[in-house]
Amino acid sequence: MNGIYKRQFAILIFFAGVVFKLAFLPAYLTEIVANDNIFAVAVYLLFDFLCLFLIYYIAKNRVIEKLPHNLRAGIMLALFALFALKFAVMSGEVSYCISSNLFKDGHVVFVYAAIGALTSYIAVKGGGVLAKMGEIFVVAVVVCLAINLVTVESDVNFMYNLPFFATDGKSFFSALDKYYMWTGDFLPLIVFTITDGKKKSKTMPLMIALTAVTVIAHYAFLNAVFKSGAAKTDNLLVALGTFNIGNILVGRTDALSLTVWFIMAVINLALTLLAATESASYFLKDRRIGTAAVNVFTVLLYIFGLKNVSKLFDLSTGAIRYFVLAVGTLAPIVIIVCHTLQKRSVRRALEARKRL
Amino acid sequence: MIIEIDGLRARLEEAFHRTDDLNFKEFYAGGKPVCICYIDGLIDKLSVERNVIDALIKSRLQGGADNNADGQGQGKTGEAVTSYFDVLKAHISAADETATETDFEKLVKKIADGDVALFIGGAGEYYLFSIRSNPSRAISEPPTSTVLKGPREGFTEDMKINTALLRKRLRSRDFVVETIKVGRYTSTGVSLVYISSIADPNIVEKVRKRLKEIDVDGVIDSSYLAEFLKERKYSMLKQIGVSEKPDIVTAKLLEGRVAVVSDGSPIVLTIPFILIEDLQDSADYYKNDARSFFIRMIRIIGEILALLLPGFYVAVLTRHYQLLPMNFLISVINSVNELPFTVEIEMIFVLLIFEILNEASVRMPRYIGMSLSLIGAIILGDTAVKAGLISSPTVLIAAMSNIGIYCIPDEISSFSIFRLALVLASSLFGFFGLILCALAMTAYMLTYDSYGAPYLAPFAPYIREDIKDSIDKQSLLNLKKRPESIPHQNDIRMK
Repeated sequence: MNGIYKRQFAILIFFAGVVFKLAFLPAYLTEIVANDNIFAVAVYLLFDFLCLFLIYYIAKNRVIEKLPHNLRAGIMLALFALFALKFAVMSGEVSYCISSNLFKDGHVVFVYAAIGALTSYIAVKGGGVLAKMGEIFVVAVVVCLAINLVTVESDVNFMYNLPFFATDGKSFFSALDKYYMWTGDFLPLIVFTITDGKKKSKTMPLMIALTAVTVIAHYAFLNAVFKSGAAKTDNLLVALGTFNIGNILVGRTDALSLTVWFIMAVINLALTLLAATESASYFLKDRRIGTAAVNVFTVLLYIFGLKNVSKLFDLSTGAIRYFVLAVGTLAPIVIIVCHTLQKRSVRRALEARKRL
Repeated sequence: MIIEIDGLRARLEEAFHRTDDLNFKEFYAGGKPVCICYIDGLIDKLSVERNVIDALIKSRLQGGADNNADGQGQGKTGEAVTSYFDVLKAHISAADETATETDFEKLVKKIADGDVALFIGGAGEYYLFSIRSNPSRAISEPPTSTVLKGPREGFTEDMKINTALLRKRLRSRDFVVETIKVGRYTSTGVSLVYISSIADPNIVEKVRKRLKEIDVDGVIDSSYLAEFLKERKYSMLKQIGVSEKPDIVTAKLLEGRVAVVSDGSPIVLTIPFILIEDLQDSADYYKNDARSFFIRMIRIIGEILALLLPGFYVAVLTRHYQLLPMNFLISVINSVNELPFTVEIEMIFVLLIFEILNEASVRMPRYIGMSLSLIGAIILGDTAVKAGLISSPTVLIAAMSNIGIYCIPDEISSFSIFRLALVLASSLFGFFGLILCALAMTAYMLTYDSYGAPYLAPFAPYIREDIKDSIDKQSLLNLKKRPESIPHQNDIRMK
């Protein structure tokens, strides 16, 4: 499987956790729960971080490689289906965002074709290349995100985040139930193995904290700048970028926000596609076939299904979201439970042999 | 085998196709017929006259009485006496190397290499001496690598001088020079040099194997060897380090690299190669650290601007006018209004004109260089703009890009092509295309390892120890370990 360093794993956590929580999701959550969107996304983050600890254990101890063949085949098949679906939905988000911000709408399939080619190249080349891309861009991305927040020149009123818990419980849980497609962001990391797992590193807790702070801070700014208008935003990062002081002085610096978000999105898409490719490579010898299959699936979905962003939304919030939740939650749990049972039976067999 | 001078001379003339520069000199020494044979121009003729011919005549080839066919024999009282070879070695002190040979084909090869062959009538073997006089230029500062402070010696076309320049700086028994001949017709001397206690033996073995496997007509320059040593045959990326200065190559050898010195070329190859090497300059180590850091930042910024600025300009003017502030936009629009070409064609045209100017300025005779520079400046800078063929912002952007690209001159060959690709991507897809193309180039570079060294180290993968000598130039006192990005045996550089 794809061996990477602990530091690289941590950096990918940041990219995976931030990108799609700052795109369309803020507007969707605000529509139902208004300024309690911070708590909704905090719940999602908490859920994802709990899964992340399981995923980290699996990656560090190379658990998947030790699973029995049948079980591994079943898990890989489920993961492939999940990652293919998520890739299609996420790439749709990115393509629509680019198309609407840079090309006056239209040309979604062509935008996807360009993104798909690049992400496919990275996925085929393997996790090492992807991890190194994360290392190259992480500092610039974090700095740009910070500058973007700090230089917001608008009527920023953090009191708009209040009152907390104004939404009734039913609506809150209804919102949480509706947007499962935007959870499980860290699951693609399950296909990696950490080569220097014993080395102590401060990067992991730092990146987890940075992820949480970045997401929460952006939601707080969203409410502070847009109040209830946040439900009409397209992409949170780009939307905040329009209120950047640079926008007033120099020109459209939301292009900078879009650039930063796009770089993160490409890395995240490549991560998901890589995960799908790795899952498929358990059955197919040539990695390129798995990558090609996901791309074909995505294009067909666009042409015959996802004609516009509202259809994409309908698909994401339809019944398929429960599949995403189930696989995303159960896969790491099943893997660890089976691994534990396997270790126990091996230990018992060894003890029995010693007694003999 | 018993040598017969006349017959041997005829055979040699036949073997060399009666070439005019094959010389023979026949004389007698100690009553024996002697003949020397050499290629004119490759040997030190004065030294041959004085130290070989005169010395042999004076020696009379004395090896004792009753010498047999190869000069060995018994003395009057039955003791063994020295052979002709021992006599020759004792009297010909000017030779660098002395050897014997019995195979005629090998003899021909050695004469072609520049050795002096000596034949004694009745002897059983040929004798070979190396008294060479290779014409070469004096050691001078290379034009591609000038410094304000620091050593100014540069390599020459003579491999022996070049290895001597390295040996002068690496006075250690661990400094190894392995020489082989490459090229069926050129028989070019190629030396693989490394420090045996530092270089990774796997890399040494890999390079050695690749050099030995070269089977080609001739090697004119070290760049021929670079083609065989590359890991990826069809990559645009620079894969082998090059340098014309012994201080730079010495520093690289001390970091664990191996070097390949080729006869006939002043450019020495170093392996492995990572991109950060071209950002570093030898002058950085001879000046203040803060200044070096500042200069490296300037190089990086210059290079990024050189790559991205033309594409950004094209993207903004083709699809994203709204990115520019209004006043600036009005000024640019006024300049590009009523031009016959679209902005992307204009930009590509101007970049190509600059490439043509660059190429012409390298090739033209020095004396008309000034006039061509004036013509280029006037035509591009003034006349073409006034004629309304191109706009002044385009010329400005292209000029800035061309100046910036020379911040790292060793990467011009790949970066100038990358720059064109970025312009094309921007013209097709605007800003989106520019970013995508830049990401694709980054991904492409990240897939490459040079003999086990990651191409974009120490940034990816991040290597903390090596960052000290990347963009940030720290004091030499902090560089206690060798760079981890280059495989090596021995970590400690300073205690």
